[in-house]
Amino acid sequence: MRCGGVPGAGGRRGWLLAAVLLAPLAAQAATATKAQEDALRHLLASYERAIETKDLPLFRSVKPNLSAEEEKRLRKAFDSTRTHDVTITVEALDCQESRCVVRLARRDTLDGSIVSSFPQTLRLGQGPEGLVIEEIGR
Amino acid sequence: MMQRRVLALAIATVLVVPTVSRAQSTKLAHLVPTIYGPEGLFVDSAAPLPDGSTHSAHFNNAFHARFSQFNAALASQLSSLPLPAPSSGFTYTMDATLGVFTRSTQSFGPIMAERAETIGKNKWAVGFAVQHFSFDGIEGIDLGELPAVFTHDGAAPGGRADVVTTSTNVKASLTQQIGFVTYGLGERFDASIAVPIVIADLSVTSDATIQRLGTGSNTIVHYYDTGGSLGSTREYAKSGHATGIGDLTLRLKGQAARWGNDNGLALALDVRMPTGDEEDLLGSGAWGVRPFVATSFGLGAFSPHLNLGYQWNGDSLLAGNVVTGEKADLADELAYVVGADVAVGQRLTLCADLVGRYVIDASRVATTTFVGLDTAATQFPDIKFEQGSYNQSSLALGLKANPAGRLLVVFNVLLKLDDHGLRDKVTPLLALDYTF
Repeated sequence: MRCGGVPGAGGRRGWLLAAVLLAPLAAQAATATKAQEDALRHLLASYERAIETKDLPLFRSVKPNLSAEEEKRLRKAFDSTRTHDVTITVEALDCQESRCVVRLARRDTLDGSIVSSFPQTLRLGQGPEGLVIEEIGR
Repeated sequence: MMQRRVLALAIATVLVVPTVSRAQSTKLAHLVPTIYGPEGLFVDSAAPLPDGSTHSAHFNNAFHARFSQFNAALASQLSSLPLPAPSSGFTYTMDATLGVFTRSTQSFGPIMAERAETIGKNKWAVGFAVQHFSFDGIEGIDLGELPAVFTHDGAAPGGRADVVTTSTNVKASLTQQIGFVTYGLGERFDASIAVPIVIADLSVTSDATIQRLGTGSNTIVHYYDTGGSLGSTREYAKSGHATGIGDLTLRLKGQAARWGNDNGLALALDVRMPTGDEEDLLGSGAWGVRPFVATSFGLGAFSPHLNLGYQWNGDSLLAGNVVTGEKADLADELAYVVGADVAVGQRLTLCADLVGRYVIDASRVATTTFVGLDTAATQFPDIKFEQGSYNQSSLALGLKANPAGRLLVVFNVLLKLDDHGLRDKVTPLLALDYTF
């Protein structure tokens, strides 16, 4: 199944934008299930909220394979910023059975000022509770 | 659009340059050498020479040269003032495997030194700083009472043993208003420019007294005409004020190495351009190049740092003779800053630094005792000039507060730790710094 290459906008602009974003994906990806799209929406929203609210358990729920070292770095990152706003735009989604790769464009605002726009790639897998992040990269 | 606004603000910050103005036509660097007039120090005389010609009571033997050197020492000090580091207090490192950011260091960084962190690609930081110097002494000699003894042309026992002693009060103050912009050319490469607007004030008052070591009570040989009577003293005074752009400094900094989360080494280069009018003591009058290394470490809230560089200077009128227009090499120096900054919570950083410079083969002034040619060998305090190297160090204590967003309010005081060179006891600095 391939449902990539579709530009869109989402993240903090709300679920309305996310719905608009993912609607074409569903239209183009014949084998992409509605459940996968819903799971992706839910996953990205949780990932975004975990960073913004500095919620370590929530972050661990979306990335269950978080190592002790990663958890330590995450705590340090959460401690070092006062505010962190995240805007996620889905650039492409590739799914092969239960595994997906989603390419994102991130625009992050740290401590009230825009800091960086950068690409991000998430490798997703199926966990006991649904779709989870297995690996985060650039 | 955002970048355009940032650029406009940056340009406005550095280019709000007041028009150069002077209260008097005399350039400031000429005040000391011409304090007694263009021909030097003369006193009046009613005593004719044996051939019947008028006695020229000229005491211009050594002091012109002395004061030229004094001026060079003063001016070279004025032109090598420490600039606050034009770098951002906010630097972040992205953790790509988690998609989160970590402040590279918890503190906002040093004030008088650079740290190894760079600001980040396409990031801007702009700032404005004001620091004020009011010089108190040179080489431990009170600038309010500089002694000098001037001997008669062809000094010899007898009438030519008379001397003129002077006590000179030099008030020299300097205010720098510095606009600076830093831009991240790459993730690990910054460029900064610092544009100082300098306000310089110099006043010189010299009280001269004729010491009749040879002529004794015969006052007609050497005297000051004080409205018909034969006086022994005269006050000479000159002052001036100048405002204008100082020497622009361009700084390039690249992070050469990084280890751990918060430790790094950067290589940097300062290029100082002689854009300030040296004859008005607004700039050095010489090109300057300073390669230096900056290393910093993050030990939790505690971040020690070290800067070490060599300042090469070109030829300047100030190191030569402003009266004759002769240029000479402005003394090079080894510059160093070692210290630490400590984050106290998320909104405050305290900084302490040892700021030093080892000035190589510069003109120096020292006290000495003049011994008269009279039979009593009368002594007067005097000054002498010599070439030599010296170390000048100061303690910088300051804080960086973050009241909102990416705004930093910076306050620093520079306290002298020795009397070498031209010194100010306490030099305050106030600055604002904003990162986009």
